[in-house]
Amino acid sequence: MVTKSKGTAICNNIRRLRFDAGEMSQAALAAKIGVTRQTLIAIEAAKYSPTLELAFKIALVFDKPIDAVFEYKPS
Amino acid sequence: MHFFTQASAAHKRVWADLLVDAVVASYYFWQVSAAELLCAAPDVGALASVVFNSVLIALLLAIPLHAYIALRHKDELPDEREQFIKTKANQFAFYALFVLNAALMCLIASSVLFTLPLRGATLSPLVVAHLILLSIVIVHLARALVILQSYRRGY
Repeated sequence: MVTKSKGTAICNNIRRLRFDAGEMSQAALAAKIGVTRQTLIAIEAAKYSPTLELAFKIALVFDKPIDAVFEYKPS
Repeated sequence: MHFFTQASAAHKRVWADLLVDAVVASYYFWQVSAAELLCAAPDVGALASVVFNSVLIALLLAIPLHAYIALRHKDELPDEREQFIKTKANQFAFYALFVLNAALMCLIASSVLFTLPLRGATLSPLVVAHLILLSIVIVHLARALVILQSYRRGY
């Protein structure tokens, strides 16, 4: 499932990727990429667009290219 | 969102600061106005006592709150989103303080140039100092509200 909200045109597959990665918890992913769990919740809900560096960190955790994690969908 | 389990240390600190500021500012300005400490001949001892009590209340509230947050969130640093929110709130605070103090300067200039209906009150240096203090408190509270609103929206 791709998460998209009214807040940003960037959607993401982080929730599905976490599930595929052995049901990784939000807290575990947040610790790996060096953000708070609250920020990860905001990113997952597409309420906050991460910086390019943070987006690459997330992609690296799942060992996926960045466009498999984030998609740009202008309205 | 479950505040106590999901909120970050920075988010909780903003709530703690907001609580402390609101309580201390309410106490201070209520005491100053109730005891008429801004009159032409203020009781310096009473004013010093109010200032001392305000600092004491601030310490008694802030130390346990921040100690609790520090213990619960060991080694947690603000991340990029929190720094972005803080920067945005600081920008807002700068302009709000500028506008409030420009309004205050207009009030002072007007009181010198014209006779303003200030209900018998005079703009003594002590009153002006308290108006500046009040503007700083208002801006600090507004800054905290901007941060909390940004956390609620996500950015």
